[in-house]
Amino acid sequence: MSKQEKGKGGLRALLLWPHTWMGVTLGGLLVLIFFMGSLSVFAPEIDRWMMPATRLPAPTAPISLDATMRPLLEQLQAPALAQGGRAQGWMVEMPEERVPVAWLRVRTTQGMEQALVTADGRRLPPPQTLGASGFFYPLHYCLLLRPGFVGYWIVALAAVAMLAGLVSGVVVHARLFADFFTFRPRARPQRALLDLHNLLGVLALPFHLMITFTGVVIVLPIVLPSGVSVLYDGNLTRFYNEAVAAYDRPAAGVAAPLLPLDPLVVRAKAMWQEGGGKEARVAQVTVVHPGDAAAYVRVTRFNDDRVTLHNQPIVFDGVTGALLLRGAPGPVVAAQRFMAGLHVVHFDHWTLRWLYFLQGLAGAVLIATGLLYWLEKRRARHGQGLAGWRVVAATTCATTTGLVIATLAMMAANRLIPATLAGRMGEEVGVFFLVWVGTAVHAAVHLRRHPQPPWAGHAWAIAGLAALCVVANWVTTGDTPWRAWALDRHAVLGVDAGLAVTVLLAVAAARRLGAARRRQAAPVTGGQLLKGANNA
Amino acid sequence: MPEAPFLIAVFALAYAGMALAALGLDRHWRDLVDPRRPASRRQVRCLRAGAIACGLAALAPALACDGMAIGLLLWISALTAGALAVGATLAIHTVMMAKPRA
Repeated sequence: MSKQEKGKGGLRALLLWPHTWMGVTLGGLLVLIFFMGSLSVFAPEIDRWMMPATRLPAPTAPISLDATMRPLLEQLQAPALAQGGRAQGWMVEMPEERVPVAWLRVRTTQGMEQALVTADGRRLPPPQTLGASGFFYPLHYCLLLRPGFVGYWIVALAAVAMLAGLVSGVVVHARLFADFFTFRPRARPQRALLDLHNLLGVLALPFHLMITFTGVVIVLPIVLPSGVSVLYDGNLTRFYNEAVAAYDRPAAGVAAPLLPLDPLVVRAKAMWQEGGGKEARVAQVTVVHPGDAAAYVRVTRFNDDRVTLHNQPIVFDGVTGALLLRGAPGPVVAAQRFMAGLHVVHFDHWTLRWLYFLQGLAGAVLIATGLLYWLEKRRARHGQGLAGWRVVAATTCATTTGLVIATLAMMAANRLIPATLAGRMGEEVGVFFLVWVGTAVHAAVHLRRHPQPPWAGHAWAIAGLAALCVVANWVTTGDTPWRAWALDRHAVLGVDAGLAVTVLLAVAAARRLGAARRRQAAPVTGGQLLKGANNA
Repeated sequence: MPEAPFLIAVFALAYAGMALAALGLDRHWRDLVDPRRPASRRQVRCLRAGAIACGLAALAPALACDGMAIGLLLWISALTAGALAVGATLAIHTVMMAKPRA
């Protein structure tokens, strides 16, 4: 062995230890982040599925803010004004193809009011669900732990560990090129798991490096706060305002009529188009201090034609119509917004959305196969009597199949608990967490008697729940595939198809697991199971 | 859907490139072409050159379809998808060719 080879072997051994233990400790968390992130790619579609009243055709005609939205905004703030309150701001999130409804938000000194309306100005009942964009998505980026940015910190820590895991994994991989395409599903479980782990880790490496790195970049101001704390006294809002070119001025306290909004929007569109390119669509229109002499109107654009997330805000005086600010990002903000856009794939490209979704799931499977490989190897070396082994086995089971079960249970609860029930939003979340904890307890209890976590049982549960979701959707909304197809409800069709694929894969996995157990042969094909389970 | 031919070209070239790259590896050459003899040096060189050519050629329709930023993203993702598809093809092939278990 040459000196160089010896050196490499040393590095390999050196990096295997952190790779392994980081995976064992943070793997479950990373599976959650990757799985929920993958679902978030299709959050608007899952939202349509979970909020049947919003399954509407995409708006075709341009929407007049003055004719349709302004009366509703005034109606929303009327009760507060009648009580002697003062209007502070309006916000209209414009409908688009994937979210064909508008959100109206009104802030007064008495509090916040919001309403969901159709593009033609019909008010819809509140959806009574957080949906994918209000639950799965925040779970992905902050674990729903917003106070003190605790969740952001934990996710960022896991992401940095993931980067280290990816790089160290490539170094540790002994036969990178010879095994480049190798996957032997019929080999003994340890071999098959390692094959799948290596295959996904190497082949999807560019995507995983990109998605993890850009994920950290999005929350960089939170996790590297020293710049903000030195230059802005730790005031993150002031920093963001300056960075993304926000505008602010206090109310004058003198009443003055607000200009019509539509002409301002037309002017903003013309200004965006000046720089060349397609006609940009409007994403949000905000009015601050409506009815006051110091009112101003902020218009932002939708970025469906480009990668960056920078929405080029344009601010007009709400009384005179004078241009107050035209936001253009500095070089660092532009780079950060571009990377954020790379991460969230909001631009109009269905092929890439699917590739993001599948590669994200591949990331979840990559981490899960790593955990399963560790479990198999440990058992081979130490036997399964160790309490620590059982803890990791139960956690792995709960964070892989258990997570899928909890997600499906929440979706089933969404269809089965009537939306008219006032507390449904909380009940859905409760179902998610109770079921999730339930799967962990079930796995732990199962492991006291059996050598393996309850993979087959969980696979059957996934199949049953996914089938229940599909059927419940048909029964409660009448959107059978034929009807969804006829009405162009592609979001519903897509979610139902995803659920159907989940049923098929979960049944196949469960049957194979059952057969393997009956044969008393090689214990688990956990790789296959996960491949199926993560396709929710 | 005017972009469909471009997308098909991107994925077809990515798959072809990865398939050639796989054939350039001894294990898959023995599995698919000749179990007794490894590929000659010249054959391996040709396969690798073909793999690189196909992989690079996939970039052209991606850029033509989606421009620089999104095109590059599509190209890299398509290469990954192509490689995983080749991996799956090889795995299925090995399972189908294996003798049924007793």
